[in-house]
Amino acid sequence: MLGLENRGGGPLRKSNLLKLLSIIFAFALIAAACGGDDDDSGSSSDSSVLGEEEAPAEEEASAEEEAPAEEEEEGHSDDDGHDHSDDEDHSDEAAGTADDSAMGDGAELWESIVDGGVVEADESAEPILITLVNIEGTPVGSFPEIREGAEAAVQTINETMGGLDGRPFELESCVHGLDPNEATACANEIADAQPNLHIQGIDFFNPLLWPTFVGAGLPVLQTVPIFIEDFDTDGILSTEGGCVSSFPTAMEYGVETLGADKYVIIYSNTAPGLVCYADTEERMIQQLTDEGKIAREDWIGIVDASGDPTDNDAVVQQVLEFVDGAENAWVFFGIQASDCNEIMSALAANGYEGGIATSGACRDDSVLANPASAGVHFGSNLGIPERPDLWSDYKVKYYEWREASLDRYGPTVPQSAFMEVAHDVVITGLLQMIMFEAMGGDVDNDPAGFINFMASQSNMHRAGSETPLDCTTNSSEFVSVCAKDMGYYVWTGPGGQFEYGPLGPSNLDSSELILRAAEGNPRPTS
Amino acid sequence: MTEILLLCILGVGIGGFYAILATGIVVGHKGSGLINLDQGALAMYPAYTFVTMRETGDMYFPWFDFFPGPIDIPYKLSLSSEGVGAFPAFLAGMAMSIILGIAVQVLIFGPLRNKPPISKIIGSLGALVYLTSLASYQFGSKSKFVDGILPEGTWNNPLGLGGGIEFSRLLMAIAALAIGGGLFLYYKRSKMGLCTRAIEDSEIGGTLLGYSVNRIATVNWLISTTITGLAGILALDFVTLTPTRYTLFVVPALGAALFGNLSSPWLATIGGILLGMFQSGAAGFTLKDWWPEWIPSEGLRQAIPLLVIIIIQFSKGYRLPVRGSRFADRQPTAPKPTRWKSLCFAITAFSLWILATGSSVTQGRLITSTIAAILMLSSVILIGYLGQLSLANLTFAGVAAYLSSRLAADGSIYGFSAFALEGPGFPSPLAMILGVLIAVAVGVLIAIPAVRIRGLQLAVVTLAGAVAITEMIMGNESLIGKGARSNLSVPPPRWFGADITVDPAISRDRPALIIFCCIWLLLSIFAVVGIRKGVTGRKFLAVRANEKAASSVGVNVASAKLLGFGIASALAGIAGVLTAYQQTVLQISTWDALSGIGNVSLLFLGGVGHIGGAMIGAALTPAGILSTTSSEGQILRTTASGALMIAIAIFRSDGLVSLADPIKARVRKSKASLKRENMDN
Repeated sequence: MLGLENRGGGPLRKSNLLKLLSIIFAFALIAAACGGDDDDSGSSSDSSVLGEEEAPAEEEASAEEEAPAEEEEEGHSDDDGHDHSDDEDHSDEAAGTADDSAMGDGAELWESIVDGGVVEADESAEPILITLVNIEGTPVGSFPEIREGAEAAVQTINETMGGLDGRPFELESCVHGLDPNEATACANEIADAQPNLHIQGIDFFNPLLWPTFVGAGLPVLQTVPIFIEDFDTDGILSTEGGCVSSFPTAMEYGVETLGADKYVIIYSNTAPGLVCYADTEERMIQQLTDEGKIAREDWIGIVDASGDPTDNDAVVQQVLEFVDGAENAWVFFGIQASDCNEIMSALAANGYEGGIATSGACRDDSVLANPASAGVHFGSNLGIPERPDLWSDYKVKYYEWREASLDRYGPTVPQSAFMEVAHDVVITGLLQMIMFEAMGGDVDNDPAGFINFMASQSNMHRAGSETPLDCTTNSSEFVSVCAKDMGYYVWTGPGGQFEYGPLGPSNLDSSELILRAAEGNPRPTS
Repeated sequence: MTEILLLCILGVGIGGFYAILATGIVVGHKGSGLINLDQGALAMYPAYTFVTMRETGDMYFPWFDFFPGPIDIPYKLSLSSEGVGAFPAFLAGMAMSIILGIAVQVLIFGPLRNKPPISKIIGSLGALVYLTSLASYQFGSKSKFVDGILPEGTWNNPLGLGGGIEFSRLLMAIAALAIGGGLFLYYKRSKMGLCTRAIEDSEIGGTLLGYSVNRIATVNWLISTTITGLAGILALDFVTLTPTRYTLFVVPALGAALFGNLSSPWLATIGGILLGMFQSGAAGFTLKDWWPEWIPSEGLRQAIPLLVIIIIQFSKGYRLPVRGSRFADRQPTAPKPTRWKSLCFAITAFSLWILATGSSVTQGRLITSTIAAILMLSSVILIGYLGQLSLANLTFAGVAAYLSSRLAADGSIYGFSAFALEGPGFPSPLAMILGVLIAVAVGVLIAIPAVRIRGLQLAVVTLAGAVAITEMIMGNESLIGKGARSNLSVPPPRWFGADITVDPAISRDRPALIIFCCIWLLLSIFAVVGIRKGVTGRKFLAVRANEKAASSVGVNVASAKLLGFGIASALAGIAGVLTAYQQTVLQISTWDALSGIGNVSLLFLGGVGHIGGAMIGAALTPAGILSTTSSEGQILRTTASGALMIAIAIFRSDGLVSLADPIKARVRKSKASLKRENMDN
């Protein structure tokens, strides 16, 4: 009960012991922060970035199981490590699961390397410098899995793939805490370092960095393009689609495939959300409108305040009002998973009976566990998620190999789609370098040539993907982004699985729509 | 209208959440005199405990394995190999609330009780940073949406308005009303409640009567964190859980708490529910086709709590309780600058040295620190000299940055932007002057409530103001132009024919910008030194020390406050325009309230009443001259920085600059003894 007596306490008393404990605690925290992290728990990603890629099946595959026999095939390696000078021969000889003609140039190369046995890079050789800029450490956005995915790939390249002609990869990461000045400092450091390849992690300050990278002539591969500057900066290439693959396809999917008589596009009020809506949704569906595929009054864009539940009901009411009387209404979510969840639930609670399609950004465990998610069509540009029974042999093989790669590395944060994206982008970079050198290029002294090499490919293999990329058909508005396709798959509900939707196993390629929109509804310049 | 009414009713759920958080703030304030800014985080952590218990059976503790090496500090308890049921998970969540309640009182708010308001706010913010980043580290930033403990189901067509409202929302509002009503009775009828009110009215009186102030504070914090944790768990049924999402609910909750005069749980409850209903109803208006584009819908919703706070503060300002002032420790020192000429010389020499020898990276760091120093000097005036706890200085800077960019634009496409930025094409100096003047106007506007309020309440007003201004001005594309909400390219500045910046695609060396920023920093130091040494500075210090006493000796307190805000806004505006020059592309997230808090925290670390403290804080600023980029461990750095903020607030409110005080004293002493010896001889 209440101490009615004054026990010598009160406001004037201070506890020196507490002070001491607090000091020790605070400094121990700082010491720990300066040291490493041996914790097996960790932070994971914020799924607010649009166009998130799919999560793979979680097959268990140990490194030992995955590592091929160590016998060296003739011509695959020499004493110095892996010899890739005769890669074309390997491609011809490959009798595995990969097929360059179907999956893009580089798929057979990858398979020949991983089937060729474990080959370590020569640590004494001059390293291939790879750099990475990434956001980490803020509750608002932190993507350590991007860095760890890249580190895992580099480790696998060095320990099992023989590096680049025996030269090991060296990854230098510059991580910042969502601060533009730190991001700029990272860009300057990287420009000074002149890497052979720069991998751009997730960074909300990309537009600040591109001038520095372009000015320094660095070859750059993006992981997740977010802003218009990420889409249309010459020399900054992306093998990932982001909004550019998610949203134009969603417009085609809703209008043409699903035949929606009322189509509602819910988009986020965040900077990427607004940019992506205006540039990759509104213009695209307006193009379809101009082509007579949907009437202007039959579609609407509704903005949702990201992370703010107070406007969800108004959004839902507006949806219901708009679709009233429709026979085949569809709502497309181009928002982050947490908002998807709440609006999905609110739609169900209010008796919405139409269909729902979403971008990949909506697909996370919390959404899939929501009863209202049954029957929702989820976007994924790497095939049907979590259904290895429906995957090609190549995809099964690649995913198992990647799992082994990540296991070998031992991530300290939960595995996620972003981790796999970063891993695969680095592997794609390796394959591109090998092919560039095989064609007589010089990754050390000809960065411009390397950039042009990548940008000029019409049948590029993106590691892990069964669909080749064509960088030569990029519209001038999206000159940086080579991935423009997306598949849509139906979730059966909590505890269920994904099934093929109307597209079957195929992806919808929006290259044509993007090109048409560039003509008919070009990006406004002011 | 029917639709709007329906939306208002649908808002009772989130309003109930606000209400319980607000009630928690009020209870905490009654017990300890602190306004707790991490109330949202105190709801978030138990909610995560509930979720992880449901999912994995693990109960995480609010710390991490902070000892590197072989000693493992246990940081979680695995109670089951798989998830547990809702009831055990709920119990675990409530247990975590109690642990947090004890921890915050014993480790943070107890030691802070008699500290000056700036220490309290920094300590409270440290707790917010610590818990939020720790949760990000332990649970990830991904959203969690689980079945909570409230029954499922929907009340269709409520009151004949159409639609449906989930039972969970109604029950949340009912729970809020029950808690608010219960606490009303508790403070009116129970012995402990009456004791709390006695302490609330007079700490001296309560202490003389034999009440243990610490014990009363602990009990109230336990009540506060318990109901807050309960709210966090209940809200899981309709609010998706992420660390920041829950944490930032503190802004509307503060509005509701102020509605309750920081003393009435019942009024705070009503305020919270009304606020949720207003926000939801307002969203209905703002999504209509006829809603004018120049009023951003998000801005309006954010502005509602601000308006509530400002109106209440302004109308009740002097009646809002100010606690802990009786025994408060002295304010941070604000000495008269004595070696400022040496400081200016050192800054000039250092800048020239970097200019001559530094790499582009070092040059960039110097520019960042120089601009941060100007921004922090604005807080030295406002917080250090005038004692007005403003968290909106960075927002004032942003206003100047965005508007000066718009005013300098001439319809060209700048940099790598895809859009042309329309504008009158004013010369850069004129655009800067106008941008700064507008920032001053906004600063003075925000200062109006400060005429009647002070301390932690003012911090709350400025925090809410920062949130609203960010949305209403900076994020307003009608006002700022295309790209305001994403990336706004800054027109290249030219001053009297000279290019201040260089396109980074052409050169990364920025000599002109270094010189330009250095000049502005020196001018800012002259200004601050002049103010501190002059009559204005003495007036400011008088207001800081005691407003009534200052008024009695002829100081016009209101004028002094408005003048202080105006000067600080001007300095912040200059820093904002320079930041625009430096970054070349502006993003709204750079200027938000949380970033502003970080800036004030660094100043506090350096020494809030010292020009030297601003220099230390600026050197330590992210990407500043003493910072480094790293490859890993960032999230733990953030967590550790939260703990450091708490420690600094408790143990060294004069900041790092005061570490030199003993040395100075020794030097003075030895000089004096030497002088005496000479005289003796």
